[in-house]
Amino acid sequence: MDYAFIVDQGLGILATASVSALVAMGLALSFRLMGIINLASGDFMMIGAYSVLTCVAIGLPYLVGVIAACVIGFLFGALTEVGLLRRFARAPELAILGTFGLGIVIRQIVELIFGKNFQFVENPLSGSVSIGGAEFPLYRLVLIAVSVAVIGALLLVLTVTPLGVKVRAVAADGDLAETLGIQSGRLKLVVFAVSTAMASLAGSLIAPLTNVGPGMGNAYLFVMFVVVIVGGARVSMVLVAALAIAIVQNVTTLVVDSLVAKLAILGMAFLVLAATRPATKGAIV
Amino acid sequence: MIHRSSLAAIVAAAGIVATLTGCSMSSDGAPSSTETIKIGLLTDLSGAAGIFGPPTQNAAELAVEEINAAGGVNGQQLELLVADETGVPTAGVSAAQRLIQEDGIAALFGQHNSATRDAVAPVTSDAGLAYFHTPLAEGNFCSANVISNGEVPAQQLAPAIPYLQTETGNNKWFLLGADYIWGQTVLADAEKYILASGGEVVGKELVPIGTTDFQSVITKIKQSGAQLIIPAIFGGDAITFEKQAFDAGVGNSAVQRLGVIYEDGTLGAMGAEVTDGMFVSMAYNEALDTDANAAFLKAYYAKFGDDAPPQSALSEQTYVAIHAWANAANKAKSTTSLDVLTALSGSTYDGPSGTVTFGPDHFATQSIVLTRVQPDGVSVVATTFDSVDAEQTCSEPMGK
Repeated sequence: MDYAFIVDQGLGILATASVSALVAMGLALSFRLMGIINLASGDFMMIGAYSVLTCVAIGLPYLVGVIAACVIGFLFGALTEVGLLRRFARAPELAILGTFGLGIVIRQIVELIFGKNFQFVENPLSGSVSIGGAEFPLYRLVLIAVSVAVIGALLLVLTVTPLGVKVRAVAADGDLAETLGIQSGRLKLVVFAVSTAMASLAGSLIAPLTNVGPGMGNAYLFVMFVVVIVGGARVSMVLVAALAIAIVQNVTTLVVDSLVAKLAILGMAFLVLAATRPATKGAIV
Repeated sequence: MIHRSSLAAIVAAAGIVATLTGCSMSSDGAPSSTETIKIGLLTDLSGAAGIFGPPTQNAAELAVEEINAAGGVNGQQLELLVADETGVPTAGVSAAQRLIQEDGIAALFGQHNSATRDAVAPVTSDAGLAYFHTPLAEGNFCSANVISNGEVPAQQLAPAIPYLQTETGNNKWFLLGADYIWGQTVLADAEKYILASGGEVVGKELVPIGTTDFQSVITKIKQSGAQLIIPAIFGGDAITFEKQAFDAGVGNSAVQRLGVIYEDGTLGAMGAEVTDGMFVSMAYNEALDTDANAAFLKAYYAKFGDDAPPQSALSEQTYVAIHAWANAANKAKSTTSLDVLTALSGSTYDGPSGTVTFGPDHFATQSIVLTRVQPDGVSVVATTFDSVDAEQTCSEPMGK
């Protein structure tokens, strides 16, 4: 267990956590504000990956692809909120079915346009750099930096700006906030669009590291939901949860193997649920 | 309220319908008539192994065209029906059932993983259908109506491991496998041949199919001090692993690869920088310099164009199986499983990669080609091992 090894593992954990944090933060925000559980989050990641893929394919720089992914994710999210989610306003739990269906439709449309096969985005920053004696992939460092910057900016917006105050007011009590003159409808539109833009950004960032295919989002959705289950709907706790799960996942893979790692994070979710579940009056067992 | 919840139902229903119609079947374009004999091809056109499907479908179409041009099977023309098994055993079973019950196929050729083979074999057995599982697989499968002509780990590894140890002067191996029966068997067999040839296994890891983040696995490889690695992972997973390992400084120049399913399509997607110097041990490669292979490739690219996906052992074995089945059916003057497989037992077929002998053990004795990727990404033949036995012990009758 030398120093280089710890640096290597630490950065690896940060890289894993930053991707899940980006998506999970959006999930938590839209759940808190609208009661919407967005089962299409993985598919918004996929949209981001295909945005980058398309931009790179037509000769645009990778960075333009990432920006395009954010914009497309935002617009698609806004469209989804107006066209689909508003209809679930009185019964948000039904939105689980709605976003599940939406996800299938998105996957099928992407499959029609791009085909079923995996496609690949070339790594724009191939190779590794030496940090504290550890050889760490350069691209993953940039991924960590971008994610941390975006998450930090969002936290800043939520805590210090007037917009953030409004978001928190609606999250605390939507009806009361309305009586104070906050247009919660418009706010929800923006928050949901930001959440899908973040998923799309995450998808565009992982595109050079993995396979781009219509079903790629499903592989990530599992971890994202475990993060939200463990972290709850508070954004800061979601970040802690993303980090904790990345630690459990990476360390378990290293010490035992990948399958046990998957079970371990599931076990973690069960433990947190069992520990935090409020005592129910008249519980049968 | 009613219309709101019904909207959700409509969206979900639309999605489900789209998914169902997505798994459609396509015909090879030959006119359908009662005069033709239909054969089915079950292959991966999507999912982790989706990269293997298109060249396989092409190889099958080429084989059918050649058989038809030479007079067909027992005087009748062949018609190929293709179904996508999507990498999911249950999807493979329903596709096989449709091919058998609705289309009345005479034989089934499957280029898919062994989990699907295990699920489909009872279906073809019940229907009394000859079923060729064509891609490389773990072996050890025994059923009267099933022929596995793909290469098994014994064929890919027994000669290649000692060759590579001599060639590189190294003998510390790491074994990486997809966590299902094939990956597990490759790892177990590899360990056996490594120990038998004086090598050492310094690390082992099984990863779930569809793994997207290999960071910790790569650290494990780094920590193990391995000089050589057998990566028994395929398609998209293999590409993801190699790209991530290269960036983490665990590329081929640090740890020598002996690929067992790194066909040229997979290698091409990794990029020349990543694949430089990798060894691959499979039953076929386009680089083979033989007259039979030159003729095969000429026909292939003439039919499908220069941009056609490259042929590999995974697709070429389907071509071999369809030709061998047609020869046996002509010899038996029948297409029932019992007659065809009885005629097939002990017969040989001279394919693009040399002579393939179909043994009574339901497996094939064949040559193995060890290739090495050059800096420009092109594979060249390092050496070939002729008539390698599959070391199988299946004693079921041939056909039933």
